[in-house]
Amino acid sequence: MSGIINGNPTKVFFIEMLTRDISITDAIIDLLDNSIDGASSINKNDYSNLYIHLTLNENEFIVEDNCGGFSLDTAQKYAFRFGRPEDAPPTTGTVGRFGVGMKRALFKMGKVFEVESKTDDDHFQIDVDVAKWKEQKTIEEKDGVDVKRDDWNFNYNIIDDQSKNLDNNGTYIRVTDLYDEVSNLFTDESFLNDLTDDIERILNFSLEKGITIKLNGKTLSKKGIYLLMSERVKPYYYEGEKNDVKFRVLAGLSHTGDPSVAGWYIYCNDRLVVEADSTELTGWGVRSNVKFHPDYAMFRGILFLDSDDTLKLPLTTTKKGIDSTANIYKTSRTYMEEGMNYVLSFLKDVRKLEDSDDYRNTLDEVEEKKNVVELKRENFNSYDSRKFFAPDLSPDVIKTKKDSVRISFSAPIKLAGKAKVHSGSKSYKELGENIFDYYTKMEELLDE
Amino acid sequence: MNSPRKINYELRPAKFTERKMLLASLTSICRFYNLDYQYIGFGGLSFTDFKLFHKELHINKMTSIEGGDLLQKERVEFNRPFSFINLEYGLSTTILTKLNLSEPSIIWLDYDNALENHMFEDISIIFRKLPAGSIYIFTSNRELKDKNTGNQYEVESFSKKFGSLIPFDVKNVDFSGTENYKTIRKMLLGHINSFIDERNLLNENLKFYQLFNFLYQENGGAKMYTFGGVIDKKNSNLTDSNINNFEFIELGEEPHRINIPNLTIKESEYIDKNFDDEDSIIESRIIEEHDLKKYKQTYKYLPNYFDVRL
Repeated sequence: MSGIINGNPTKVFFIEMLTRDISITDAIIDLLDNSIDGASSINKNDYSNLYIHLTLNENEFIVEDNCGGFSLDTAQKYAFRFGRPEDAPPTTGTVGRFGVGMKRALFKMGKVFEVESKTDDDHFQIDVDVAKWKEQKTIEEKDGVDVKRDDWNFNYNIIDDQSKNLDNNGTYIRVTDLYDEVSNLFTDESFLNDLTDDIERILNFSLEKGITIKLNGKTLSKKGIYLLMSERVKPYYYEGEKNDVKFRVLAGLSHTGDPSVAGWYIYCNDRLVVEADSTELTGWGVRSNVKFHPDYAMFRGILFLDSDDTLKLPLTTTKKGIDSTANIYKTSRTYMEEGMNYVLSFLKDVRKLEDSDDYRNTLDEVEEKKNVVELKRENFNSYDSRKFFAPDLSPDVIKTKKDSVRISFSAPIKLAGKAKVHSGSKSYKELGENIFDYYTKMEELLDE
Repeated sequence: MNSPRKINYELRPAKFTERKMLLASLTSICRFYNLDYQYIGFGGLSFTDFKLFHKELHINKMTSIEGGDLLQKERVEFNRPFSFINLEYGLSTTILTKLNLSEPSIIWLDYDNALENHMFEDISIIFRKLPAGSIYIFTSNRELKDKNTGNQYEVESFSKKFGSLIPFDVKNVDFSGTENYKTIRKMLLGHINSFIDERNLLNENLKFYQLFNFLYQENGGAKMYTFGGVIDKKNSNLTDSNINNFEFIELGEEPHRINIPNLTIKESEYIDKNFDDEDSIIESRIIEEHDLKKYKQTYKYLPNYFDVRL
C-alpha cells in the first residue's frame, strides 16, 4: 500500500521557528545588508550620498534608505517569496541571497509591518498584519468539497502622493506592535550602544565606501582591525581562486592587550561574517595547532572571500558564521592554518623574552599599520607569498625607530620608599623619572 | 632534540646501522629523482649525518637546527665540520617556518625524546610545502609515557595531551611496548595524510609513500622508532623501482627491527667465508643461530670499531 504524507511548510514555521535562529541585532543588520545590496547595484565602489536611517523606539522600528528600492516585479517574484526561487537571476557581489532575511527580520520584531519601495518605474507598499496573514486561507473546490489551503500571498497597493513616506528611490520599512522583549530592548541604552558598535564593525567596508548610516539620528563611523605592515614586519599572505570564489588570507600582528579581539576575521563580499574567532572553526586546537592563549593576543588573521555569485560564498543564512564544510573554506583554511603556524611560532618566541609585554607594546607603537580596507585594496603582486616576515626579536632593535626607550630597574624596597618620599614622587614610576632627570641634570648631559 | 651531553652518536652501533641503511636507500632515491636536495637535520655536536650525506649524497645546502637549551654556540660552531652548514638556533617549530621548504629536501628530525605535540607541528609546517621527491624521516623514543608521572599513558591522559591527533579507536593496550610504535605510526601517517589531502584538494595530486619503519634499541638504552618516506605524485613508480630491493624498506605497519649481533671480528669473518652454509656455522657451536640471523640482516651496514693510536 502506498499513500501521500503532507510535507507542506506551515506559516508558523516561518513566523515562530526560523526567527529563533537569529538575534535582533543580526536581524536588523540583515535589513541593512539589503539596503547595502541596493547601494552596490547603483555603484559598486562608491556609496557617497546614499544613506540608511534607523529609528528604534518602544513603539516602532523604521529603516529608510535611498539605495534604489526594488521593483514591483522583484517584490512579486522574489523579495516576498519564502526562499529563493531557482529561476531567480544570479545575485552579484552582494550578501543577500537566501530569500529569508527581510521576512525573518520583520517577523522577529513585531506583529504589523509595512514595506514601501520606490524605483523609477514603481512606487508601492505592502502592509502585513501577521496575525491575519497567519489565518489567511484560500478555498478550493475538490471533488465537490471545499478544501481550505494556507494562503501565502501578500497584498500590495500602488502609492499615491498622499500616503508616501519616500521621495527618493529607496525602501521604507516600518514595524509596529512590537513584541514586548523587542520593545524593551529598543529602549535599552546598552543595547543601542552594542548595536552601534556591531554595525560599525560588521559594515565597516560599506561605511568606508561612503554610505551614511544613522541610528536614532546619530551618525555611525567605521571601525576595523589593522595589521602591522612595514619593511620590517610583513604579514603572511596568500591568495587564490576556487570555484569562482577569490580568497585572500592574511595573518599577522596587531595591537596587544585585549585577547578577546584576537583571532580570525572573515569577510564575505566585504561583509564581516566571523569575528575574532579563536575556536576550532578557524583551526585553533585542531590537529597539531595550538589552542588559543592570551599570549597570542597580538594575532590577527583575515580571510577575504569574494564572488560575483553570492550563492558560491560559504555564508550561513544568519550571516554570522561560515559553512565550514564548504570546499572553498577548506581550501582557504589550509593557508589560514599555515599563516597561523608562522605567526604563532614568532609569538611563542616573544613570550620567552624577559619583558615581553614591553616588547609587544613597543612593537605596536612603532610599526606602521594598514587597516582592513587598505589590506583588501593592497596589491600584493610583488610580495613573497606564504611567508611571515617577523620583526627582530631584540627589544633594542625595534626601539631604534622610537624616540624614547623605557628604562627599568629594581631597587631595595626600603630605600626606594625613602627616596620616593624624599623626592616627593607620587609613584615609583615618577621616582624613576626623577632619578633620570636628576642624573642628566647633575652630569650636565642635556646640553650635549 | 640533540643532546651533545649524551654519548657520541658515532659510537652507537644500532644508530650507526640505521644511518647506513638510510644512506643506502637515500642514494637510490636521489638517483631516482635526480633532484638538487637540501638537507635539514639536528647536527648536535657530532654532525655525523651531515658529514655522511654531504660526502655520499653530494648535498651542499645543509641546515642544522640546534635547539638544546644547554648548547653553547661556540662549541657548536667549533664542531661544525663544513663552513657551508647553516646553523640555526631555536626550536625546530620556529626555525622550520624560516627555512625555504619549497625546494626538494631531505629532512631528518631525529628527536631523542618521546612523542610530543611539537613534532606534529613540525609536520604541519613541512608537509604544507614540501615538493614531490622530498624525504621526511622522523625518529623518537617510542615509549608512550606521561612525562609528569612517568607512567604509561592511558586513553584519557593521552587524548588530553594529543587531542584530535589520536587514533579514533585507541585503547590502553596501544600504549604498551609491543604496540606503541604502531600507535605513533598511525598518528604520524594520519597527520601527514591530512596535509596531503588538503593539497590534493588544490589539485596537487600527491601521495606519501612510507619507506622506513625501524625499531631499535642500543644495549640497554632507549627504545627508538624511526618512521619516514617520500612525498611524490600519486602515480609514482618509486616503490616499484630497485628501492624495494633493500630488505629494510617497509611499506606498511610491519616494522624492521635493527638487531645488532654480538660477534667478534673473527666470528664475522667466519660467517662471511661460509655465508651460504648456515648448517655448518651452527654446527660449529661458535655462533648461535639468532646471532647468525641478526648478522645476515645487518652485515652490510654494521660498524667496525678499532682503537687507533692517533
